[in-house]
Amino acid sequence: MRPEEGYWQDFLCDFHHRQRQQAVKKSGLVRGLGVFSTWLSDLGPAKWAYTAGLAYASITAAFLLMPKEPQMESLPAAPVRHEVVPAVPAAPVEQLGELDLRPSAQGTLGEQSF
Amino acid sequence: MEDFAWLLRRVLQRILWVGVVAFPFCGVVLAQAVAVSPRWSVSFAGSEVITTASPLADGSMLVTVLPAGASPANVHLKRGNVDLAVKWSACDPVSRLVFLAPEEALEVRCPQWIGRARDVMGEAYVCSTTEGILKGVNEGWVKQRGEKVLPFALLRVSFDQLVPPVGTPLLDEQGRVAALLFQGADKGKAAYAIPAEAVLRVQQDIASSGKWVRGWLGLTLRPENQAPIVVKVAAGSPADQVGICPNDILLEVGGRVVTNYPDAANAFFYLSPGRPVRLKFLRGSQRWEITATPILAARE
Repeated sequence: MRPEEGYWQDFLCDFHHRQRQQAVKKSGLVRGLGVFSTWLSDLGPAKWAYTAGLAYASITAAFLLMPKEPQMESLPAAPVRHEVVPAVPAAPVEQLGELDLRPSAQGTLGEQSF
Repeated sequence: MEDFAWLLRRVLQRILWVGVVAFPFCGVVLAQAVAVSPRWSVSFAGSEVITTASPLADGSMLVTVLPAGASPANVHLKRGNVDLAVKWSACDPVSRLVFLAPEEALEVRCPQWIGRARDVMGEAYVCSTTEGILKGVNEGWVKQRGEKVLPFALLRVSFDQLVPPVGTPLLDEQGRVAALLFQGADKGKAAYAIPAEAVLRVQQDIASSGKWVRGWLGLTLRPENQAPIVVKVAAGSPADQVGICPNDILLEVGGRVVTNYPDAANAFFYLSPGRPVRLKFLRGSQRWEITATPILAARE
C-alpha cells in the first residue's frame, strides 16, 4: 500500500521543523560548544597547532599573573645591647579605717573583711 | 511710635515674668543657706579651727566635722556670739562626724538632706558663710588618695572664691543639703565634702546606739586586686548562707555599681546590720543576684 501523495514531503517538513525546535531548546553554552567542536573538526591537522598555541598562551598568562613574594632585604647582623631591669613592685594598697586624709594616716594592708 | 511702645511693653512683661519665677526660687535657696549656716559654730579642745554646725532634718541635733588633731572631748557650741550648753555629743571616729544636741531647742526650719547622693559631676552648690554666699561645683567622687582607700567616698568640690569653713553644708539648686565640707584639698580653692547620705547613715546609728555600727556580710577582698573579686567567704556568714563563693566578682552592692575595690569599700560602708541588701555578682560568665542580710560586725 503506497502512502498518499505528498506524505513524504509533509514528513520531511515536519522532521526539519522538530530538529529546529530542538536546536533552539539547547542552551547557549552547549550550542557554542557544538559550534566550536564542529569548527575544530573542520580544521583538520591544523587543530593541534591551534591547541598547542592556546595552551602556551594560558601557561604564560598564569605565570605572569601569579602573585610574587615581597622582596625582603636582609639587614646586616648587629649586636644588640640590652640589660635586664628588675620589675618595680606595685605599691601596696592600704585600707584606711578612719577618714583621715593626712599623709601620715596609716591604714591596714592585705585582705579586708566586709 | 506705636510699635516701639508695644515692643517696650512686651519687654517689660517678660522681665516681670522672669522676676516672678526666679525670685521665689532664689529666695528659697538663699533662705535655706542662711537658715543652716553660719548660726552655729563649734570649737574643740586642741584645735584652733572653728567649724560650722548644721541642723539635721529632724531638728534633733546638729552635726559638724572634727578637725584633724582636735579632741572631741571638749566641745564648745556657739550660736552667733552666744555660748550654748551642750546636752550631749558623740563623735564617730570613722567619719569624724560630731553630733551634738544643745540644751535649748533648735527652733529653726531645718533643711532637707539628700538621702542618696546623685552621681552628678558639675552640679552647682551654694553655701552661706560669714564671707557671704559662696558657690561651688561638684568635681566628682574621691574614693582613694594615693595608695590609701577611703572608708567611704567623698566629693571633691571646687569653689569660685574661698573654701568655706569645715562643717559648712553645701546646698543643691533646690536648697537641700547635698554634702558637708570635710576639709580643704591640697591646692587651690577645692575641698573634700562628706556626702549627705553618709551623714544620715552615721546619724541613724548614733541616734539609736550612740555609735556607728558596721554591717558585716563575711566577704573578704584584697585592695591590690583591680576587680572586686571575693577572695574568701567566712563560714556561716550571711554571704556563705546565700551561696557566695570565692572568685565571684561583685557588680552591685545595695544598688551601688561596683567596678573596683574602692567602689566595694564605699558600698559596704552603707550596710546596716539587719537590713537586707541586694547583691549582684558575676560567677564565670553568669550574672547572679541574691539578697543577704548583714549582721553586726564582730569588732563592733
